[in-house]
This record gives sequence, structure tokens and C-alpha cells, in this order.
Amino acid sequence: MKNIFTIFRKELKDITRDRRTLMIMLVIPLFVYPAIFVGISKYMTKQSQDAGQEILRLGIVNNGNEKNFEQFIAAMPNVKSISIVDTSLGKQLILSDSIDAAYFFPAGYDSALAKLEPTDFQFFYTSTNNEFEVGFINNLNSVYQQNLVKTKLAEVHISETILEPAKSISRNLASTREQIGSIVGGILPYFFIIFCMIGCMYPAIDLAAGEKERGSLETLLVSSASRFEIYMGKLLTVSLSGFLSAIASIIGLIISGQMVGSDAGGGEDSIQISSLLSGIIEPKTILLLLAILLPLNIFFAAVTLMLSIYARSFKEAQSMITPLMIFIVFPSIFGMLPGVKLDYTTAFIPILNVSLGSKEIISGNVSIGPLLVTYLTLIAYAAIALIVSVRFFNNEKNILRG
Amino acid sequence: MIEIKNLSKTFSLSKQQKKEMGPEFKGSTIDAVKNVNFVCQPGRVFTLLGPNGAGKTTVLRMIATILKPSKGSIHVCGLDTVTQGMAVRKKLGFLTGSTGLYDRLTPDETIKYFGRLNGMEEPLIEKRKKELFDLLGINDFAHRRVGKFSTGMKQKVSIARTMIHDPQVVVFDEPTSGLDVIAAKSIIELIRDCRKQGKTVILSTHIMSEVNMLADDFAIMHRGDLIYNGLFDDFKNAMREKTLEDEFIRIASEHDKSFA
Repeated sequence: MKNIFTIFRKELKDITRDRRTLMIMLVIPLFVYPAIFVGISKYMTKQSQDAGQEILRLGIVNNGNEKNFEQFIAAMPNVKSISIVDTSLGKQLILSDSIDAAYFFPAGYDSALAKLEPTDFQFFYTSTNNEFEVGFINNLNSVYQQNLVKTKLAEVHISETILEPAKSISRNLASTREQIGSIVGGILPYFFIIFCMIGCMYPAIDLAAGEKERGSLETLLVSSASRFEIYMGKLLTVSLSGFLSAIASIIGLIISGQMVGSDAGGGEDSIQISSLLSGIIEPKTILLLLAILLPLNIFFAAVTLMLSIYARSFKEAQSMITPLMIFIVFPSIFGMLPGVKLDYTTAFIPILNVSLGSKEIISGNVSIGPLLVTYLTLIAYAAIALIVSVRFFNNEKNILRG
Repeated sequence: MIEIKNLSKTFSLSKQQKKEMGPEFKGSTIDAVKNVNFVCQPGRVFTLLGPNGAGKTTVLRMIATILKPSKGSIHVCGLDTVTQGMAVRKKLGFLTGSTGLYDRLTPDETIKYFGRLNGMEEPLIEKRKKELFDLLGINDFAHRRVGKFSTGMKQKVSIARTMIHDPQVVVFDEPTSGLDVIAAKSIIELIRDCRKQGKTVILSTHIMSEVNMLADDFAIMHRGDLIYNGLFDDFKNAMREKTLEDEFIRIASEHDKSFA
């Protein structure tokens, strides 16, 4: 036991003196969430502000003597319109970004409307336009159509209620945290899982394959420490490194919450993001997240150490461990899909169970049974990985492969 | 003392290794060490000479408990290397040509680390560390990180690490390979000191000049077999060729013929 602690202390000192490890283990996880949330919040606020100030430029080809639309447009703030001779010029102006959209009212449009005969108008735009412009145009069309309907109904003395005899009023009982958590809750576990893996990966390669390559493993094996003690000292260091990465990312989340929350100029979006983050940054949520990430880290540490000790060199270990990311990224992304939930089946699938479990913890909507199964499953996987990895380390064929 | 009886080591080969052995190789295992017997006495240097791939390192790794023998036994100071591995390692120092140090630790930290791993108490580690640092001239760079040291400086730290627990048996596996003349000389001095102190020394090398300088007892390994074992003076007296190199080549060639 004393030797395990001696090796752990030395390995920890060794990896924390390596700038590259520190960067991967602590700095990147610490800054990713602030960069994401503050970035998104600032971007959305700016987009909203820009949208408020933006002028929508419309071209109108009015061959159909349409008066309602021009009056309607004239009354709209932030909309400027110009008359255009024909649609081909309108298309050219859109493509050269001189206008945002062009409306074409065909000949006989006004008379068809007056007689309540079917007719249509066309509008041209590019779907790759700014989404606020597209949204604005769609909204414009919708209001114009509603106005037409109202006018026509009034002309024939029919009440507007005929169109909607009974209104449907929706009342969403999900809390703001649940609503936003279900949307962005998927992306947070993805990063937690990735950081745990990256946090384990580099130290595992350095402490096993790296040590083998440098020739120091052989001298360590000749010391009085047993192989189990050497292995456990290294495993604890690698697990701690992954766990510290996860903690750094949680601290990053707290910082994000404070930064977004204190952003006085932030709009509705900032308030919603801040509300989500303050919900996550509750001691109970953090403890539940850390509890799910702890066995995951031991699992990652055991697997990466096993592959690293098998590799002949640092480079070979990298090429063996890096493809593992696919097996981690795929279930993590699958967990982000809407409709995929933590249940008694998914709770047994490693990584996916962490992704879904963390998602539930973040949205504050935890199903106790499946979450408990997730914890137990993760502990079991970590224990299996540990046993296999210890056997692997004890095998002289693997340890001296080179 | 090291006593080796009927020692053999067989490695099973991977597909890749079988490919590397060439098309004429048919087996799935290789006998790296075959029925080897010898004794290393305290206060004497036992020198194991042989070309690359002769099985010297495999024998030394079995003595150091890194590998387990397939057959036979090794006793170090009366302790069995298989059943009493940890006790054996406490009595053993192991030095190779690759310094195998941690670049991000200082000599001071490295020596303390290995002292602790070898079960030494802190006051004893400090005392022994001071003696070794004074003797090897490490004090000037004791608190600098090893990464930027010259090979000679690294080799000094490596020696201190090997000797920190004052081992009774010291295993040198081609300790001067890759070292410059000055660093190699410090290793030669260390081996002589160990002999003076009554330690059991086993030295594996393929450098004839080192054998000439250091050997008391002498053995030649070739293709996993021990093809000579005796006093070095007796070997020199019985030489048919003029130089040690030529005599070694003659013996190895005769042994090769027995395979043909």
C-alpha cells in the first residue's frame, strides 16, 4: 500500500510537470464551456440586436395591380420596397444581394381576389440567407395572408371565429431547466465523456508506453514494488487525471454560468442559458455527475493503460488508443438524439448510459431505477476492465514487448 | 551469491515474429536460454560474453525477476527468484546502458523515489543519498531536472539509483553501450568498487576490453547455450588464437557447426 502511494505521488508530480499534459488535462476542459456558452449567448444577443436594426429589402413586380401588399409593406417598420420591372431582374438582384426577396403578383391578381377566385403570388429568396431574414419574410407572408382573409371575411359579413371555432391553448408543464436541458443537455455529457477520455489518454500513454520506450519501466520492475503496486500507482494517477479533467470542465460550467448571468446586455437567450447553468450548478447535480464520472474514469484508465502497456512505443500507443475515440464518440452522439432515453436497456450500454444518465441529471428529471442500474453497470465495467488490465500488466509478454 | 541451475527460457512467437524469423523457421516457440548452469560468487565479477541475441539479457532479466524461468531455478543470496521475488529485488541492483531516468524529476527526487520503493526509511535514504552524491559528484546538479543532462550526468544518477539501497548483488546489462569514454569509465570504476566491497557482480557485455579489465569468472553464451564457463585466467591460458576476439569467434563458429 505504501508503494502504491509512493508511485502515485511520483507519477502525479511527473505528469503535472508536463505542460502538454496540463494543457490537455486542465486548461482545455476549463475553457471549453465558457467559450461555448458565452460565445453562444453573445452571438444570439448580437443576432437579435442585428435583426431589430436590420432593414429587409424587397422588390415587387406588380403586374396584378395589388394595392393591399404595398400598403401593408409601407406600414411595416424595417422594410423597404422597390418596384421591379420583371422577375428575371428580381432574381438577379437577389443573387447579387441587392435585395433580400422579390414578390411577383401576376396579371389579373387583383380581379381574382375581388371575385374570390383562386390565385397565387410568388416570392423569390435564397434559403441560405440569414435565418432572421427568412423568418421575417415567412412571417410577413403569413400576416399578409391573414389580413387578406380578414378583409374577405368582412366583405361577406362572416366572423373571423369561423376560422378557429375553438382555440387550442398549450401549457407546457416542463420547467425552464427541463426544456433547455433536454435541448442542450445532450451536448454537455458529450464533452464530459470526451474530457474524461482525453484526460486519461495522454498520461496513460506517457506512464506505460512512454516509460517502456525510455527504459525506465525495467528499472521500476526491479525495485521492491510488486507489479500490482506499480500498476495501481499508475492507474490511480491516470484515473485522477481524467477525473480532474471532468472537474475542470464542471468548474468551466460554473464560470460560464457566472459570466452569462452577469452579462447585463444579454437578452432572453442569455437569461435562459444562465437559468440552465444555475440549475446544473447545484451541489446535488454536481455530486450525481461526479459519481457517474468516477467509475467511467477508472474504466477509461484501465483500458488505456492496458493498451499502452502492450504498445512498443509512445507512437504505437497513440495509434492504438486514438481509434477508441470512435467507440466513445458514437454512443455519446447517439445519446444526444431526441427520444433516446435512459431505461433498463440503455442503462447497460457503456458510454451511452453515461451520456443519457448525465443528460437526465442535467435536466433535473432523473429516473432513479435506470440511473442506479447505470451506476452499478459502470462499477461492474470498471471492475472487469481493472481485472483484465492487471492480468495484462502481470504478463511478461506484454510488459516486455518491444 | 547467484546460483543458476538448469535454467531455460522459451518464448512463444507471435505471427509477426514468426514472419521475421524467415521461411525456414517452422516452430511456434524459440528457446532463448537452454539448460544454463553457473554460480556467481561474492567479491568476484562474473562476466557473461556473447553476441547480440545470445540470451544474455534474458538470463539477467530472469535473475532480476522481470522474467520467470520456463525451467530450472535461480537463487539470489539463497532466495528463490520465483517464489521470493520481492525479497530478491531488495538485494538486487540493476544497471543497463539506457539510463532509464525520468526527465521531469531531479536526481534528488529520483533517488528518494527508488529508496522509498526499496523500503528504506527516510533518514537512511538521506544518509545514503549524501554518500552517493558526494562520491559521484552529483551535488551540483542534484536539484535540476534530468531532462537536459548530458549522458555522463545521467549515467551518474543512474548509478546512484542502482546503488541507493546498497544491494548485495549488482546486475550490469551491457552498461556501457551507447556511453562516451568518460561515462563508460565511471561504470568500470563502479564495478571495481562493487567487487572491493564484496558484492556479487554479474556483467553482461560484448565488449572484449571490458572482459579483459574486469572478469574474474567468465562464461560465453551463444544461441541460448552456455558454451564456456570457468575462470577467466584459465580461459586466457587455454586460448588457441592470439586475441580474445579471435578466440571468441573460433568458439562461436565451432558451436555454429554443431547446429549445421
